[in-house]
Amino acid sequence: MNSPATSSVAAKEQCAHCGLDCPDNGIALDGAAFCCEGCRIVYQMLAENDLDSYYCAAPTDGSPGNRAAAEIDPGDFDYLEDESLLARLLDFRSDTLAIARLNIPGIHCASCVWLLENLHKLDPGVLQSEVNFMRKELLLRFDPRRSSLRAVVELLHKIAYPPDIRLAAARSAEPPKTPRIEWLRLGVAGFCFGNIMLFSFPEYLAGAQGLSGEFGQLFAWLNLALSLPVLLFSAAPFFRSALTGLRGGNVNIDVPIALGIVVLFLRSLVDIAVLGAPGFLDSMAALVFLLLLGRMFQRKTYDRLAFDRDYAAYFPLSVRIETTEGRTTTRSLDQLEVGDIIVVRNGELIPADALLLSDSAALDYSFVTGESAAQHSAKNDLVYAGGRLTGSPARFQTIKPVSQSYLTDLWNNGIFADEKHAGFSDLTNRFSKYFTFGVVVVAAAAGLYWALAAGDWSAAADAVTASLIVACPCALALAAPFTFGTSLGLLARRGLYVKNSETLELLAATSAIVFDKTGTLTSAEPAQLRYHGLECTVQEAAMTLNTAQASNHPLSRGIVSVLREQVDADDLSAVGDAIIDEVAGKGLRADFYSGHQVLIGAAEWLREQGADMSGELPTRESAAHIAVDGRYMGAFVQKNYLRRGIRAMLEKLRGAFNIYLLSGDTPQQEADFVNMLSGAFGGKQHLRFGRSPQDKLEFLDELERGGATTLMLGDGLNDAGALRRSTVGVAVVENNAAFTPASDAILEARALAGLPQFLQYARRGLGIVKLSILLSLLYNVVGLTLAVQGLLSPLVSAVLMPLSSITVIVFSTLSARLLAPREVKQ
Amino acid sequence: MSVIVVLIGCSLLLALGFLSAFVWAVRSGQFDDSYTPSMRILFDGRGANKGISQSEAQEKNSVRRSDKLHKQ
Repeated sequence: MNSPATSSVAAKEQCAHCGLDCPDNGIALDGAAFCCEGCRIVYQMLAENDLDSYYCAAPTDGSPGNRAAAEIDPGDFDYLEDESLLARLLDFRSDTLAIARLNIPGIHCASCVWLLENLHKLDPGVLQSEVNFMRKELLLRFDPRRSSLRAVVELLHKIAYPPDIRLAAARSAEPPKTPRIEWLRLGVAGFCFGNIMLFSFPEYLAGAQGLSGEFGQLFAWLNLALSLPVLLFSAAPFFRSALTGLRGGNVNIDVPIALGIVVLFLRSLVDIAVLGAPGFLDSMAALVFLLLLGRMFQRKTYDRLAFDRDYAAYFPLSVRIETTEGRTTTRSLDQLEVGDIIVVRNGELIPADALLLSDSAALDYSFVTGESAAQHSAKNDLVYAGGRLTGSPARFQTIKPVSQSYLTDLWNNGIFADEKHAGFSDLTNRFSKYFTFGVVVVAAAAGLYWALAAGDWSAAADAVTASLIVACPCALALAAPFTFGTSLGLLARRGLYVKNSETLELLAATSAIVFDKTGTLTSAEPAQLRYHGLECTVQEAAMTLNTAQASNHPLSRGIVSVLREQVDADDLSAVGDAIIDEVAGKGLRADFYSGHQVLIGAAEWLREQGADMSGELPTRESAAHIAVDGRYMGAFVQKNYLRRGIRAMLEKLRGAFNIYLLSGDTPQQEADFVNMLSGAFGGKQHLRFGRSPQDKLEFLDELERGGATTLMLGDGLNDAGALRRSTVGVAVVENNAAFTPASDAILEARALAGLPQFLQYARRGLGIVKLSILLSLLYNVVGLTLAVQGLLSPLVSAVLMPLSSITVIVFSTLSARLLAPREVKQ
Repeated sequence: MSVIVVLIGCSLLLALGFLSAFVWAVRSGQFDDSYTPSMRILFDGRGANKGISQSEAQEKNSVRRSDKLHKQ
């Protein structure tokens, strides 16, 4: 490879590494252009190691590279040397082998998979690296003698695939993938079912007279042998669940199922061994196989999503600590002590309540409090855990341990200790109580009749066992899994990921809906602003930009991002410095040394400040008005302040539910919002502002105590308590790779407007389950009628039982598809 | 008569062969990730495993063994 000849890139080219447009001062190397030094380093490193086919490995558009992140400091990963932490981060460790699972959010295409699976070329200590694309996870095996976790993590940073390292405790709470044993159970049941059917077929075809002795016996004994793995291995979960249920005094749906399976087997054993009859083992195998299939179908796992997360998952693993000698080093968060001096950089979280040691710092608490404006702290101010630092790095001294800080306080509330929905039993299980009771009564009555009235004891045994067999609620147990399984799949495709079918059932019962404001109804990212008003000169634009840069208000940040494209650096420096005052909730006033004055803010405030407001624009949305030297110029209007379709959605919901809004912002800040939406919410009393995370939790608690079934939609940590206390808590996210608070469902923000349809669909789903249960009951009535008369032959049973199951499966799957509202189906 | 018994034995053996193939597939993790392998097939000649030397391949095998031990 030639030595890098760095020169300036002339035209707007695309970066050879990350595919973004190169800026005018981009870098070129060997005819390839780069947007930044970081991308060039990655490109060069890959080229030198013969890995440049990375850029052509995948037939995707553009270049596969992630934009190179900021450079890392040598001490950034000191904590990865910490033995106690390593023990928790590594899945396995011996002298010659260590295994780690790293979550890498940057994985997005086949090239990523290719490069990450070739890590051994960049670090010979890596033995094997394997990507799970859906989980965005790298399974890493390395030789601890030749490499280390720290070395690999630093390497990953260098090639722009920074891993997101969190504690194992937070990770193990994620929903497990379908365990291998479940596949084995299903496979074994399927195998036995198929072969038992093969040996049972001759019996069916032989008709009433039965098979000749030898064959009948041979096939029956073979069936018996094949049914053992089904009974002992495949059906084990049903027995276990039934036992747990009975011990807890709870007759769940698995009780009649387990009873049916046991009776099926015992009756068949007696039939085959004593009476020389064929037995009912074909029915038993079919039943277990279909039930397992139902379980599998219902087990929806969303690879990238985690529903259960506690506060620890929000924090970084390590903190940067300044030692007494003035050096900085990183330490794992567990070892952070009160009194430590920590250094926090732009975009990082404050891990514990602390005092600010630097002169000033801007903190964004939106994630914790829901308040969108950044707060400015001065030296010796108390800052709370969970604040995100924006701007230049700052030093803090911790005054509380992590576990007792403001952010974690919420988790000390009792509701986080209880298991959610602990007392809830779903429709199938509620029904199962009566069903089991009814079947036992019918079976006993039939037995008593045959034994006492007819005096035929063998007929009595026949009728009792046949009743219990035919009443085995296989079809009933399949109704909910197949209906809800289909619904969960359809909803997930539209952007609503529901944790499980239980949650879907609770969703159908919703009576009150509570929305968070910031990040849920409104977009969390600063929306694109548009300028309306008089044409302004470059100088005026530059002064406005200079003024807006001083503030961290979302509108100011929006103005900066618009104006920065129109004002170049020379014009900006030409306007000189200014004294800038920010009046919280009102606006900004800048007095330039050149004598000019710029006002940005609310129209009312501009008038108070003496601006001539004759040309004021009437605005309904959030707007920042501008006046230069007392003359009104116009306003930056925030478009798409609300997400699309929100108003229509609220109008639709208001008819059927009580809807509320909870916001961390003060009513003053939100005057526009109140005007805009109090109608849609059905009055101002439904809009509650200035709510702390604790207030939100209590509001939900009050609703729940009032008998409402609540649905809470929120996005940040500040909603975590409310999400937990609500019957169904839904976390709203911009994209499904984002980090969410613990919740029962995750909703992509783009799909929020579809909420009324989702709720309607959940209710329809419940209706379908009820109909399916009715359908399976009809079959049971037919079967029981035959059974109590002693007319249930193995053939009738082998036809009737799978037929009822398959009818229910087809009915529930098809109707769950067909009855989906158009919005859900697309 | 005895022919049928032999045939039944053969068919059962065959079926058991398929069952053990299934068990092996589940155990070796083929059901754990059903998506990524579809991407791996796109990699051409310079794919992940081609560049690995003999000794490295042996090492990989020992890795698998220890991985199994670990799981048990």
